[in-house]
Amino acid sequence: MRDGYTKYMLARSRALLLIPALVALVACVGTTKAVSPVKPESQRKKAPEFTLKDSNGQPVKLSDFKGKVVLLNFWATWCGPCKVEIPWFIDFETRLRDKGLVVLGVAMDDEGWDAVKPYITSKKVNYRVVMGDDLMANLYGGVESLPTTFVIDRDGRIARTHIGLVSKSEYENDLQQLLKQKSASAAPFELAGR
Amino acid sequence: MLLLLSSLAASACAQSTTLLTVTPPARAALKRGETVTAKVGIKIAPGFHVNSNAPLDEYLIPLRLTWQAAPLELKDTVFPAPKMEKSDFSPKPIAVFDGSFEITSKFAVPASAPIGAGFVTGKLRYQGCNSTTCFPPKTIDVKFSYDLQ
Repeated sequence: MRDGYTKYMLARSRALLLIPALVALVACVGTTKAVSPVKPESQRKKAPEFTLKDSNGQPVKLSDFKGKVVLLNFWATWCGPCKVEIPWFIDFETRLRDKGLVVLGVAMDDEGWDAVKPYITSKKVNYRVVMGDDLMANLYGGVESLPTTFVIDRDGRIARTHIGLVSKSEYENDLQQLLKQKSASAAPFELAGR
Repeated sequence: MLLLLSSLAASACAQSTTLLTVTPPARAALKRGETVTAKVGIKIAPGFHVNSNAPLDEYLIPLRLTWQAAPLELKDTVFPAPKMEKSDFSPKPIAVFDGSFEITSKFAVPASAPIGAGFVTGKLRYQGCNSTTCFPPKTIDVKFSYDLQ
């Protein structure tokens, strides 16, 4: 038969054993959805090269951004979820430009700049926006819904594709990972025919 | 019985896309001088919505049903009351349609309309989304067939 002190010590030990489990549980509950990493470098494919015009009529090529991390976002003024992301991208462009990020919006509005220019002006979009078309959508695997965003590493390879709205922290995580990585080579962008 | 058969035939002509299924109006028997109602049935895929005919955000693409009505005369097209949905991108709720609903068009049959079988064609333009993704606007043809006696 156990005396009172032994019972107390046993109970105390059990309670102490529970602490790590409780800590782990709280950590799991307290953490938002686990953020997945970008693709390993060996699995990344070259982002197709393109030339599209910006709102000033200037041609913009993907290869213009060699050595940069590019967040290539297909969007449209009629797409509600796209509008949720735009303030995030404005923030990324402001904070991460000096670290080597380029945000590039590809507007997919059929009405062209007549619809897009007033919108990007009113929302004070601080990153470059080019006008996309079906050819561009097909070049990137047939972009069927918006938003669709390609996160491209410093070597012009697609490290992550997001179809639909994801969280800002997910983008932030992608970008921080890629910005830390150095360009592996001076490999040119793939020249995909248009 | 005739009505049931017409309705079954209309259902058989339903067109489906990823986002919706459109059932054209049932074939109608018309007489000169009367007014006829044509109902276009729309069923939105679960979890999705289309913008209403007046979505309350200048950039959203409204639902439109336009008819090439001749030899009939389009009098009116009525949409149901929309559902007001709160969104993360607009300070105001947006007006949407989801589930199943009908758009009703009324046509007058002119005294000069030719006797016999005929049809008028409409174009339904829509743009839909769910909470995370949107599909580009699309237009599909709708046919209203009739027999003018």
